[in-house]
Amino acid sequence: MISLNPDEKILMVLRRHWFVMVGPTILLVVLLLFPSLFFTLAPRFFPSIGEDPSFQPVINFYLSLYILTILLYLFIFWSDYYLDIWIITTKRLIDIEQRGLFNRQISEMNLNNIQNVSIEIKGVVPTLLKFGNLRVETAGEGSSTIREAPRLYEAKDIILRYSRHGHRPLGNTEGGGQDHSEQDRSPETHS
Amino acid sequence: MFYISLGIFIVFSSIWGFFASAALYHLKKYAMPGWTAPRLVVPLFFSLSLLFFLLSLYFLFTMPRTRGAEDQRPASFIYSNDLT
Repeated sequence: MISLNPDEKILMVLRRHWFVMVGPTILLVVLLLFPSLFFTLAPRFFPSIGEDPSFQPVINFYLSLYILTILLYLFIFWSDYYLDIWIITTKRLIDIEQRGLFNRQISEMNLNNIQNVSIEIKGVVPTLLKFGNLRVETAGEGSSTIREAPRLYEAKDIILRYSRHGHRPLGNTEGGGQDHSEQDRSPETHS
Repeated sequence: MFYISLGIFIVFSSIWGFFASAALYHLKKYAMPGWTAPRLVVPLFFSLSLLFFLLSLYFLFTMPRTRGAEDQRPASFIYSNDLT
């Protein structure tokens, strides 16, 4: 899927926080259960539904197809979430976005060109669960945003450490002990 | 009703199979080595799907057939029992 250069290593793989799946999943589960509950309780309110025994297999058949549709949608939805990733290597930031089926976008950004990294954590749940957005800006390549991801501070530190301004990997004390790593310039936004 | 449902089932199965294959293809092609979640989710998905496919087939074949012999009498036929 991704070809790395010989001297390149993957440092971190980020995916959106699991909490972003909760709302849609609950909705789909409700859609999954609602027809079954409806047809179980409907004969009490609409007696004619339960009178004809030949009608029941028809209802059950279409109910099965409906459940299969919801299951498939849930699977595709999960695949879409699972295949959306951000990969931080020693050289690049790779943004892989799966937009449904048959639509995949991959963009890369050299860490050397990164000039600004900012973190935004907005809302009660993101603050408690510690996920948010990380925006990376470069001079010529524009910007890239890692959305609703956890471990933002760790990702920020890695990006800055391996960018042009923090060129040395951690633990490298070359240059007579001089510390060439730049101060953290990333503004952080909390609400 | 049976034959209509059978036609719907065939079309539905084709479309469902196409999209399920596409999702599975994307997962297989783009998942990185070492990712374990697909090994759990994919079998679960296919197990549940197989279950509901078999159920739908069962209910399909328990549906009343609308073209049975007893339905082919002309509308004007009067049973002898109806005269009493």
